[in-house]
Amino acid sequence: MMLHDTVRDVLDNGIPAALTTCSKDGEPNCAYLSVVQYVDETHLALSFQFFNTTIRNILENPHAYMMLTDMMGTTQWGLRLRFQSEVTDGEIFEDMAMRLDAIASMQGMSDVFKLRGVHIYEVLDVEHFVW
Amino acid sequence: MSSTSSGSADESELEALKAQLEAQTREATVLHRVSTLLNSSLRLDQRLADVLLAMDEFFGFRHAMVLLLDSDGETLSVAAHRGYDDAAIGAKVPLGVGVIGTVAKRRRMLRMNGLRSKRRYAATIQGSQPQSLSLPGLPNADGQLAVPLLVEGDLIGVFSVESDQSIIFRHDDERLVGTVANHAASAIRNARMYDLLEDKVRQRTADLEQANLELRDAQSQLVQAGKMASLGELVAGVAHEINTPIGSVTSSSDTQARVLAKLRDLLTADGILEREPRSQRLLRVMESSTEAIDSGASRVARIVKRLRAFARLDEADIQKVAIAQSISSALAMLEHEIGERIEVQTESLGRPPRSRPRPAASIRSFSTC
Repeated sequence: MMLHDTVRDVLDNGIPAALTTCSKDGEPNCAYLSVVQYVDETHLALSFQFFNTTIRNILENPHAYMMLTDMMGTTQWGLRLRFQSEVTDGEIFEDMAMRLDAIASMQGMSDVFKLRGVHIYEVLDVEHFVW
Repeated sequence: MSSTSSGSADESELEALKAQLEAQTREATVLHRVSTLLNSSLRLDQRLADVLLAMDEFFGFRHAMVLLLDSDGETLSVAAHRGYDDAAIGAKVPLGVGVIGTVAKRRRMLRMNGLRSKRRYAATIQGSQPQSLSLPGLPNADGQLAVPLLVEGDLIGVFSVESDQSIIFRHDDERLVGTVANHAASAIRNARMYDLLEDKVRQRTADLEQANLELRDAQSQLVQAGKMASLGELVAGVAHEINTPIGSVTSSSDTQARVLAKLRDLLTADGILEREPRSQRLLRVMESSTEAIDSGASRVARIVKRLRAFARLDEADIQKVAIAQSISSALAMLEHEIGERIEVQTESLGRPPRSRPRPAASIRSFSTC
């Protein structure tokens, strides 16, 4: 499924995306993400600094659902995702590490905020909702 | 909630393509204008300000700045800005701090939206209020796009645009701002090379002016020396011309004095002087006039001697000079000027101080002061 430029803009708008994952026992979890990186027309990247429920779930069950909201709050996009791989170096990793560093350095926390890894997701489906 | 219909997909695709084309045309126009602006003059600050103005007018980038790497290589300072109070852009940015500092450190473009919530998130993790570091920029920016300015791979600065929540920076903006940044980097490099050249020209001009000044000084010294040499020759000539007649006057008056002495002896022996009081008076007149001639001739001889000293000494190298002696030489030469109207008092200074000008020069100095 292709990610159009419109969705790409929504990814960039800075409004946290809601990511829903599910454990192997079927217990859902919803978390807000501040950085979702566009990789290409069929892939997204999510950063993780801490080992949390989202990470644990995704390692058990690779399927996830992401809700994106536009600036006006009138349109939403639903992305069906599948976890593909974890990367700890390369272009995407460097880019996301740099973003994290830019924020952390403002708080004087460059040492605390270290990017542990980047998870690459394949985009399986895109839904558009108009409220 | 309703899912959008997929009808008229071709039409919307066409609309999207049209919008894209329009955006690209506008971009090309602006980039052309920006590159023209940057190349129109070497006055860098004005050109950068014009570019920031163009970015505002065409893309609504209301808050933009160009920062340049300081000479210490550790901080960046704002060189041009638009849409900020002067107070908001005064601080330096350390490399590696904030969006601009991170871009400078890593030499990579960075585009961030939703900065406010990201900072709140980081502060929550840290368990503190979001800090407001005194970095140049909007105190509460939500979006930022910063590009490193590189010249042959070396970082020279950062070009940054910021927004409050009114606009977000799109991925298309990266290309646009990146291209403007490349133009700006070249313009800055050219301006710096121009400044360097200007400095060199200024230095050369100053050197040349100094050399010219020295030459003129040397020339005037040469002219002065020539004048003094001519004057010396003239004085020496005059002294020589006077010396010969004065010699004959002196020797004649000497002869006259001796003859007068013998005459007085003879006239005394013959008793004529006693008998003839008139001859006594005549003899006295003769004797006193001879003394007057002698004293006058001696005075002329003294002056001639000093004139010759004046002419000859000017050729000498710098040497120690007895000031008192120079003063008395000067006074002797000025005797006719001083006359009887002016009384000159000289006072001895125990151990007279000695200076080291040329003797004749010192005599002239005393004569003119």
